[in-house]
Amino acid sequence: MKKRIGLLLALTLTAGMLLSGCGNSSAEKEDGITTDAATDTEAAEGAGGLDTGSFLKIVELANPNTVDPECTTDYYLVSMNIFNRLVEVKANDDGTSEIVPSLADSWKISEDGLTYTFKLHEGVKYTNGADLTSDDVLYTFTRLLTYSNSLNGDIVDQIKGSDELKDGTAAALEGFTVIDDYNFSVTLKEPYAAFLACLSTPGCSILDRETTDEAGSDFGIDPAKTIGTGYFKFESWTVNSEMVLEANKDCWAGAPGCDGIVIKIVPDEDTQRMMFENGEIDILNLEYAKSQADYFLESDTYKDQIVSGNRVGVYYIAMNQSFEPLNDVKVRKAIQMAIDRQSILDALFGGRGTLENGILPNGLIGYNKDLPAINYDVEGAKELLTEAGYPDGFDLEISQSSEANSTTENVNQIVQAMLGEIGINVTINVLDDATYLDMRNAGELAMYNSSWSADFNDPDNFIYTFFGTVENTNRRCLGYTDTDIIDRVAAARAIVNEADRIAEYQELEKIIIQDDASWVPLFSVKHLFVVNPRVKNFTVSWNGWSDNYYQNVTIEE
Amino acid sequence: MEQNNNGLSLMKEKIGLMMRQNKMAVFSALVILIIVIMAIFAPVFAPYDQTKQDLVNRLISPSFQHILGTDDLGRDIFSRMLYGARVSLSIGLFPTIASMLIGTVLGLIAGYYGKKIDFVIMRLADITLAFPSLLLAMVVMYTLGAGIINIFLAIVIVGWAQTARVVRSQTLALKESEYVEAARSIGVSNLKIMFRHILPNCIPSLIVLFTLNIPANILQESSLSFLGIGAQPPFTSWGLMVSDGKQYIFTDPWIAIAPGVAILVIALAFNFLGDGLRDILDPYMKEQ
Amino acid sequence: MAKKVLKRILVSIPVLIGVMLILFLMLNVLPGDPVSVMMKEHAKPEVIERMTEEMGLNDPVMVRFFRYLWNALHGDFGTSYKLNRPVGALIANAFPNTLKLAIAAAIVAWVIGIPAGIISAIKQNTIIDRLFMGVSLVGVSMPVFWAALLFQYCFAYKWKLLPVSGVETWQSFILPAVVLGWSSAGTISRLTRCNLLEILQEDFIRTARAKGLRESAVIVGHAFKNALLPVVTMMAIQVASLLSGAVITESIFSIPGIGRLAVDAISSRDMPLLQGTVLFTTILIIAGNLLADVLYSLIDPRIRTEG
Repeated sequence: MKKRIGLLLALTLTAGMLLSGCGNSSAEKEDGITTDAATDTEAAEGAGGLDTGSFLKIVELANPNTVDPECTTDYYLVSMNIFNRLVEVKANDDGTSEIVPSLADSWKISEDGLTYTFKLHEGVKYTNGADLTSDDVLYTFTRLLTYSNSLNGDIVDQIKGSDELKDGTAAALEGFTVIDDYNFSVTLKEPYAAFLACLSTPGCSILDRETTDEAGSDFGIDPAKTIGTGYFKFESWTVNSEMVLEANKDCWAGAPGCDGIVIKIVPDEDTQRMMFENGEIDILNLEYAKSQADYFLESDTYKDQIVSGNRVGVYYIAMNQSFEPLNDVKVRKAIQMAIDRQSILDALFGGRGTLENGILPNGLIGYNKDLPAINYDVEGAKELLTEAGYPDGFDLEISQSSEANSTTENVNQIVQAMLGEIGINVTINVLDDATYLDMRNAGELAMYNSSWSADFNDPDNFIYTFFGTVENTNRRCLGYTDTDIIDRVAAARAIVNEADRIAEYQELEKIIIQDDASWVPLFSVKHLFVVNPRVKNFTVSWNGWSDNYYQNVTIEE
Repeated sequence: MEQNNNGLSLMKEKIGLMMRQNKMAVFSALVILIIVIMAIFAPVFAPYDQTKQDLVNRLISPSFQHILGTDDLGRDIFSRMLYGARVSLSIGLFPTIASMLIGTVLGLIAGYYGKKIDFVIMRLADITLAFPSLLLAMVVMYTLGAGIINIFLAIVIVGWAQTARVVRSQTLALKESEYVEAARSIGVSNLKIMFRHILPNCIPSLIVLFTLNIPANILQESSLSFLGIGAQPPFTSWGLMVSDGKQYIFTDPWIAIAPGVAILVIALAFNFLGDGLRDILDPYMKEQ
Repeated sequence: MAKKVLKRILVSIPVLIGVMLILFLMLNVLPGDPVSVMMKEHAKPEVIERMTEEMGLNDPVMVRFFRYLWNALHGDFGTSYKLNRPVGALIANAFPNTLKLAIAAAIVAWVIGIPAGIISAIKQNTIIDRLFMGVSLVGVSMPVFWAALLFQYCFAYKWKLLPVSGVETWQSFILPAVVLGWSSAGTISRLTRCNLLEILQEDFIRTARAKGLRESAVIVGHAFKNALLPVVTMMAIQVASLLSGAVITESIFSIPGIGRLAVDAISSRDMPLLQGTVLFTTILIIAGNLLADVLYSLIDPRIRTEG
């Protein structure tokens, strides 16, 4: 029997070693996943021993890849709050917005629209005590263009010499001149009216040369090494669990209104909603819990706790002209007319939004509210199909990712039913996310629905993204064929006179969407949040993103 | 274990015994039968076209027009459940049959021939069983893409190994028996021994396994649907309906509760029936 | 005995390699590539190309497979594409949460499963048998996410007895453990019931009965001990299978465990992370089976596991 017990012990040990083997070796190399600005022992407690009771508690659906603003295109919550930009966008009460100074106190634009001279705010310090200088701006722009994981190079690729820097034929960014620690100038390749707006995007957050360089690939991953000038500092990050931002009381622009932010990561929408009602989180994003908006709007407890903003973005259905019979403008027009957009808006968003008839949505500079409405007209659509030679309709495939949210799924199912009314037999083709994105980027989908919301407040962000180059229209599965129009979209970027530029964009918009019917514009929506009564002064970002700025939020107990 | 090839007729007797002893199993079989009939004749029973949307009358509570109400696109939930039953039952049935056929043949071969072929088949089975089953199914679904046929394949790929193991161990026991020895000595072919003499003795275990695998696979599909890679529109399954209706649990709970209860009922019925069959056919079969 | 265990361990090695190879091959016929998943909307062809090259994704499958094995042997499981952290460290940090959940769930499974199995065996074919088996079978018969939602709704939301989600306190583990544990209670109760029924037929029980012992004494004194042995050895297997069954439970209850990592990894084509999590759970399952076998033959020397 003794022998047996010995063996049992040995076995248990072996098994134990097997089990823990994977962990230990690499855990020693790295100091774990709860990376923490405080010490390692505290790390286990997630918030690093901080008392987070008075912190604002918000929630995210997924653990982000990184908070490095240059290496993401869809997650800016942390970078918006721990960094600053040269300029910021301020939303006005009337729905318009303007660009206001931030790290840059002032700027001058030359007559020809080519040279921008900036003056930095003096005395700005990073949370590690380093000073902000013009060199950091140069570093930020250079990193955007050259860092191997950067995804946001296009923010500054209008600067002279950006291509040479990118392909390695130049060592420095030619268009950037450091005048002194607080003054610098930027020269563009050609006039680009949206340049200033570009600088306001979170992707263009200003980083400290020394700490960012030193952090290397840990930047944006390890909170202790992710240093900014913003209202909050990055305190800890426990993968798939939570991130903690602590107030930067010494922030150059003043301390934020609350002591800090706990960002919980909760992948299930219904769980989020229960947490909100139980007081475990302070703000619930109703875009994640869309089906629940009506409940909160009608509830006596919450109806006064709704904060909303226009999502400056457009829901659309792309129609790929490289697919038969979508290459026929009559067919595309028929599809535009066969979709009852108001019903979709009513059913899925409780009617909280605006029907869109173009590309540039409500709230964006250049929004044209006088565009003729695209009417819902089943008979007219049938006639057009007959004229086009498809009196009995045809088969069509609309694709969606298996990870699509319920809005996308529902829009597709409704569209399937509505197009069925005019004889088009729509199949919904569900692809896994990776395949879907691959095929979409390769321009291989006949049809899909999606939405695009503003990164910066300029028509360029919409019209150029979809119709600015042949490559762009193919990557969005539009297959737009009129190269004259595409050239005009690209050329419009360089029109210095603002009014002329907007007029040109509006004309192009009308041609592309109304005459050529190259996509089905659906609607733009209100973005609703419901807020715990203890939270004051919460506002939605000017563009209605899910990621918001929190410096003005205060908590009253 | 009975070692005559009269397993089938003996089984009939035993089932008769079960019907007398275990009313629960009989009742379960009845419930299953009713659901199967309703699924087969879904077009007859369904009051509405299951895909017909009515965006004005969405999220209607149960009423005389819509006995289980309507979903978020205004489709009649009862009608959708009838059609969903077809998908859910097919997913319970067909891949289970396929995976058990494969598993039975491989198990017979492995157990009967032994040696290298046994080693190879059993290591393959070990590999399959070593995978966390839902993860394996997910990887298969992501490899093949979402859709009903691919769910079938995923379930077959995940499911064959268990049957193979059970059949192999019974074959091992049987092939040494005097009875099989005798058959062999008079020159009966291997194939005949395997399928005429050994297989019938495995049938009781297979029936139990079959009955218990069906609800497991229906549930597997519901998990895949929850993860977005199960049944896809215009098809619907009970799993997909629960998953889609989940978001309305606070305001319109019937949307998720009705199909969830349906899954619970059918799975419970199969489990009771399976246990009842196990009691009389194969009382000492151990859980995998 | 020691020889046999050693042999089992040796046999497990090709199984492990097989698991990895099959996973590798399956993921390689996948059409989508991880780089475009990482970049979503904004992917530019030249960036995709550059990153694909940097991640070594242009090498042939087998080269990548052996490179992976080689590195894994040296304790380097690669860096997650999605989470930008070493896979080993991610798993090491997620494992305690999953383990806590699995152990708590195993306890729940026993608390429901063993009494239900015993009672229904003693009262075979009565209404009580059906009732107790029914309770434990309901768990196996519900979609896990549906059960989870109903539990959250009732206990956390309506009655506010427990936290909705998270891992901050031990209370947070109650709901997920009940959901997960209940879903495998059926297995335990079936096994207990079968064993007990089997043993009640055996000679030594008949002898005890014949000696005029009371039925309860027979059951408690003789049958239990023998019937529960195999159930207890199930522990190892049970915990391992719960580890892998935690995928959905972890998502709904926001538990940062292995299952969450695996789901993320699959949907974002995060090969190193997926390989790592599957390798890890597979090792656990194999080790669990092995341990169960060994425990079984140690505790009950009568029984020798076959072939």
